[in-house]
Amino acid sequence: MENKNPNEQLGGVVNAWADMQKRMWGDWSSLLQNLPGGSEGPVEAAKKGVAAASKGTNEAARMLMDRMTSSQGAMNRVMDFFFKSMKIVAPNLEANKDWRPDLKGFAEQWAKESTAMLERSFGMGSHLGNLSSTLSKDLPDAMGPWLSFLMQAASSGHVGEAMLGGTSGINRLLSMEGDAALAGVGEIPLFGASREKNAKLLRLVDAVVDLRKNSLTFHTAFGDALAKAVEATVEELGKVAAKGEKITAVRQLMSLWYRTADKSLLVTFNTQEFLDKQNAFTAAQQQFKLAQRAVVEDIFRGLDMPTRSELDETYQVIHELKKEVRALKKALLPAAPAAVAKSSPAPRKAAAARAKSE
Amino acid sequence: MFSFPIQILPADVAAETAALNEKLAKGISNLTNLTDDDIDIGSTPKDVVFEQDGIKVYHYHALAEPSQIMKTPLLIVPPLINGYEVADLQPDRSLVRNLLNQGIDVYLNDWGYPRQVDKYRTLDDYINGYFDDTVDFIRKHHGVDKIALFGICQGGAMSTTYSTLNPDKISHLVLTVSPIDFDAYKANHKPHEGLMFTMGADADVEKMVAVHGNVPATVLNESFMMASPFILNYGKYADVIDILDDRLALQNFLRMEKWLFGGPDAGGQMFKEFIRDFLKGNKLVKGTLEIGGRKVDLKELTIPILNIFAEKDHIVPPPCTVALGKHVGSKDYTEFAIATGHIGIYTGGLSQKVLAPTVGKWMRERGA
Repeated sequence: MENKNPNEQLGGVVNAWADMQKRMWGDWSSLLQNLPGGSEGPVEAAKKGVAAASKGTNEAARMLMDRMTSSQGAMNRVMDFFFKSMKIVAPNLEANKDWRPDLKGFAEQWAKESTAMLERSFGMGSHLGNLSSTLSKDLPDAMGPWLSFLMQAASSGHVGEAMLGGTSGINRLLSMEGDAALAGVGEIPLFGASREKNAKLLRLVDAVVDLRKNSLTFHTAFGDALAKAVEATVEELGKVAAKGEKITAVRQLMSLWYRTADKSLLVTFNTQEFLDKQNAFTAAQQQFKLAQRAVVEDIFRGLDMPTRSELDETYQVIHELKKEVRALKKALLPAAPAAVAKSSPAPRKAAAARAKSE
Repeated sequence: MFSFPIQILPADVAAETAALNEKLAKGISNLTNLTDDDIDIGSTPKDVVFEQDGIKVYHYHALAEPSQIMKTPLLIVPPLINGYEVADLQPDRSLVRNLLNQGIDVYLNDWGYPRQVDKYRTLDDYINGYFDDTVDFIRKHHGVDKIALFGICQGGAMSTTYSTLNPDKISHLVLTVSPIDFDAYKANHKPHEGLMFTMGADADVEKMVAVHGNVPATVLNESFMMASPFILNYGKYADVIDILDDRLALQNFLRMEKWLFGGPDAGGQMFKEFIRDFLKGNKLVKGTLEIGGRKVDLKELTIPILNIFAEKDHIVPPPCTVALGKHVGSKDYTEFAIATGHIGIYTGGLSQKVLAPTVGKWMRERGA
């Protein structure tokens, strides 16, 4: 029987969705328990089962299993976003009120939760805390006042840049104190002979700070994009209702949400505002990788192991040598006019063999 | 009042779940019985006739009667950033087979998988080096002065460049979904179009290459999937449950997956130069492109050109392909549209019937 109360309908759908997930993937998992490796969890079981049944030759099927199982978690998060959004939208709809402000608030909260999750995975807060406490503990007491300035200077910016001296922030801070002797402290090579090595480490910390900031900005923009996608989906639901049609299956609802969201997301992704945030996030990720490499290369040098930079130099030499060899071969081998081959076309196999030897 | 259309009852969910579970149970059996041999791509019989630094040239076995085979061989030039198998995905969806059935003698350049040691290869290395060596080999192997080119996407931009620089070696140029004018879509910009180009134009490729060396295929795939993130990342795998019990459909699904996610990385220096000169600089149509110190002037491209594009192309918007007509010197320039998408032009059902016959007819009419 039709239920006209959207709150009750949605409550039912959310429960049904949860039940479906539990039953479907529960049964899926139990099927997998019967396969070799079943005790290690569904993903491992699927991989081992497929591998065992096909004697390790079914890479494509294994890949599909990986994608199905890995997309499942993300898919559930996306559906959860949709259902939670709808639970916010529905009471306003029922009361004939504008639901957009509440949806925007929800999207902002979602972005904060997402970035908090990322922060936890980065361990950023504890990394910075550890760095500060190590510096406080290990450096001579005489550096205490300097560190105190440093912490103030770095509280809203880059610890690494501040520690290396010469930053406008720290100098301004020190000059504000009006102590000329102290102002010079900001310029000293803090770690003496090891300054350059530490500089790389500290720049890595700066890169992580930037990554964190840009991640927050990007995920907020992504949350907004998802909220717009929900708006578009509500409009689509309105069209379905206007036609007197109903959505009676979870997968039908998933399909509507995915199709509508993709159209909406594509438009948002194509705006300069979103692209700028995405590019800044990407640039921060790349800068982090480069800073990380600088540190790792120092460690490798200490262990007499070849670094990426040294390998790159070797690759470049190999590339240039190969190019020279190709050019020399071309110059030395007599040019074969097309007419020679035309007069006596070689059988395909013989031609292949000859070509391979060239 | 808004009549809420979501009416999913617990009994419906139970029935839906039961049906899905049945499909999954059968699907497990199908998945475990499929081997990699069942998911073969690029399977049309061929010989490797030339090989250099991991780049292979295939010569396909003829499918037409010898008397029906055209005298001018055709070299398929795939993009450097995707696997060549898109031209030969499965026996009943194969551009290569369809061209062979038209009586065309088909060669294909498989650019291979660049390794870190290959990351310094330039566009000059590819176009004036490997590409030129391949063309010279086929001319010699086949005993002809000129051959025809068939460019796929980025391979089309490269084929256009090569043909312009080497009018003495190329007789016919066929292009499919090939980006030529990277700014053309902006004139009448629709908000959902040109995402790949817009992202590319803003990307810091120097830094990307400094980080990765070669740009990983996964990075490129993620960019491609942004055009339809939910369907390509989630919806597709939810829908695959419907075909898990259909062995043939599952095989074909897996073939596409194998091609999509098994592609090569983009060689670092090449990618940097392509984005800088073609995409950001749009130098091919501005007449400022230089490859190996040689200026590429499209007005000097005077051979017959068949430019085929996909009407629903979300990766290379049609205006970016058909712009070629305004810039070339050729008096024999033909455009042909197919109502399909960027990949569908090679793998879609409609294209199987239309693409190769159009190319075959066009080549025969021009004495190939």
